[in-house]
Amino acid sequence: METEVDDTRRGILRAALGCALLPLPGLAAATGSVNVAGCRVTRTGGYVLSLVDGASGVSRIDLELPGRGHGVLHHAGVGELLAFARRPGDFLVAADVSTGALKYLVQAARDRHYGGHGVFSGDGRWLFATENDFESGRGVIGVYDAEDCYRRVDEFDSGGTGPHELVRLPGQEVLAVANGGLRTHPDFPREILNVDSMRPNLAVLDAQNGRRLAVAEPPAALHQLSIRHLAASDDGRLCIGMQYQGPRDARPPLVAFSDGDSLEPVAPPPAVLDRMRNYCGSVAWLAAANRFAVSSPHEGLITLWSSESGFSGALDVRPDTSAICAEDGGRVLWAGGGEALQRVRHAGSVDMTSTSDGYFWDNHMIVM
Amino acid sequence: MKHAIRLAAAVIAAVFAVQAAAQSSTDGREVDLSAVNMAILEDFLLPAYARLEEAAPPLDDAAQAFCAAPDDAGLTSLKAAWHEFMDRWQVLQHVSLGPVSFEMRRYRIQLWPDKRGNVGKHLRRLLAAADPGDLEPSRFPRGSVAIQGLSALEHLLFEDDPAPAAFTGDGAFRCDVVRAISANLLSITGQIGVDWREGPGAHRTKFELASAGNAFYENEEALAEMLLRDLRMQLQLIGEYKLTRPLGDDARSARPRRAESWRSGRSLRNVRINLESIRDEWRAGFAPVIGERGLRDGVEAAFEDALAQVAGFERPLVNLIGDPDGRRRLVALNAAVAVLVEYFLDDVPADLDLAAGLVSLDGD
Repeated sequence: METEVDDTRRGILRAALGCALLPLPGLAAATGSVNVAGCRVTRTGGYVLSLVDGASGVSRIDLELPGRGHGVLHHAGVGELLAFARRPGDFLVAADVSTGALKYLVQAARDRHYGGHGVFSGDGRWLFATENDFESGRGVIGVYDAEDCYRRVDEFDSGGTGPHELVRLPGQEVLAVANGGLRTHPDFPREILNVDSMRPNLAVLDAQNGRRLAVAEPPAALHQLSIRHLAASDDGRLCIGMQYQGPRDARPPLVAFSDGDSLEPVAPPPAVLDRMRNYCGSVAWLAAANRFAVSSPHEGLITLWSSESGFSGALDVRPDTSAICAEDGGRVLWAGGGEALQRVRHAGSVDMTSTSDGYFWDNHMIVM
Repeated sequence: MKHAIRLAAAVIAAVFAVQAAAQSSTDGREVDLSAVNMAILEDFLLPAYARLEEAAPPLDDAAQAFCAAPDDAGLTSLKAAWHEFMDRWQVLQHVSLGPVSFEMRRYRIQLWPDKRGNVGKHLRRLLAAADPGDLEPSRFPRGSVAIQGLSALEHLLFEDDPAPAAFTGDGAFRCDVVRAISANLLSITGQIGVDWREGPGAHRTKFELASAGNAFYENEEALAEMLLRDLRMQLQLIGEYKLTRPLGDDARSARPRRAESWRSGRSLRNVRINLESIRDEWRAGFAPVIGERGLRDGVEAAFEDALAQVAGFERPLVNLIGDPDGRRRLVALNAAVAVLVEYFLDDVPADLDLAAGLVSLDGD
């Protein structure tokens, strides 16, 4: 009863039984231009994992998902593209990049739902996924063996409640986990069960054993500031994008920097903070500009942040743009919103837009 | 590195442009979103909640009367009162904002979808323990959400078509649960009404004053987007959960017990009420301000098509999904709903220059 298999899912299962790889005919390997990948919602309400040619907006892959997807991850070594179910979903999908075929469908462990994001160990062998033990409310990191069909081999505490995005610090087997503090349960999709008592944190964990190396919490007065998204610079600085679950007319800071031990919230001018609408959708590191980019989709705003000088600018993209990612060492920023894929290059404004009719970008994307 | 410096410099300049960005308008056409919100409040939400509130005392009375002396007539009346309340709840099932969102009320009134079978599980536990303390008005509303509302009441009244005798003797506790749920629904709907109407914190004032921003709505645009999103999500719920999941791929994989309200045989009646309700809210608020005449007509035609189809079913969904003709017509209905999803996901928000709210409204 706990793991009911949907009809759509059964269809997918037929194509991905066990460890067997069943290639579909068709898609040529992507070459030349830039491809971006992300989960999308179709015009009629379906859900897909997509790989899209950036310049033309033409799909190379649109793999049907058993439910709404969220974060995506590229396992370049073996040519796999992963998508995680959106909270509180219960699937993890790996697609074969060269064929577009479904390779693995992994069902969440009993009493666990996915948080929406994952990251690989430095050698690509282990996958770490944010999960929620929904009966106890304990956040966990599920550990999966990428060389064994993403078999779930272990789990450890995430160090908080409602882990959402996690990153691995460059060059280290260390995970930084955004424990959003929000308690959720699959019986009440999207309902937050502990808004009054939530306590988010940023936890730094040893990826090899789950040991907690450091934890940073926002000040008590800002306990309704959910720590959800983050990115690491090449030298391991962390930029955190938050969302505020408290009164809609409050204006807490929504971006913070961290060295792991503490959080340093930074605020933009009030007019910009107003337009961020208490919400950050995703964070990307732009190495070439030495800036982090943070999307705030309600009004289609991307803000830029320096760990030295704080807020350093903003640019307009179309409303409903959450998905952002960096290309070419951070010289180019891609942003997906609605049916539009927008490129920001050099000029600091959108210089090219391609559209995919009937496919709407969801929260996150990556460049491949 | 030169590129980097240019990007950084340009984005610093760009912030000055940001503050000048305009509010909602389409090709210079100003859409009065405050008027949209207020029309939905006055012409749709408040009357519908009033009707729901009015259906609660008759349900409670019918439960009291039946349990005082269980007989066929009493059970028939009680079932009718349950149906009446359910009719009025289905009108509001999609609403996620306002007082129904406080204290888990929405789920306490009806826990559905219930993919993990929690209603049955918690109800069995409650009945097995038969502890009157669980039903105390001070405890019952704080216990499991699954057994507090319409889904649990449907289990008790309709599953296996119980005779009045099932509620007497050893079954007397079942009737105590029926009464506790009915009283709970009376209490919840009463609180919702009070929260909308009364006092300086009355939620209706949050609508009226949305343009200035308040603890619930950042501005009138945010509120309009939330209202529109609820309509779109309900259309998606109808397609995904009320039709596709029970239908399955074929007659063999059909799963009638995934349908909503299959025990009471009213799955498609719910769908009809949902579609009528979405249409009514659309007509009250959004339709009058749509700029493109063809779009307004297209949405109206799509509602008409879907409603004509759902009106044509003369048997319950559970009896239709096994036979080829029934399946064909249900698949056609599902396709008609998908057309509406498409309008509310794409064309309607675009016409009003509102974000479809896919990624911006529910926190990830």
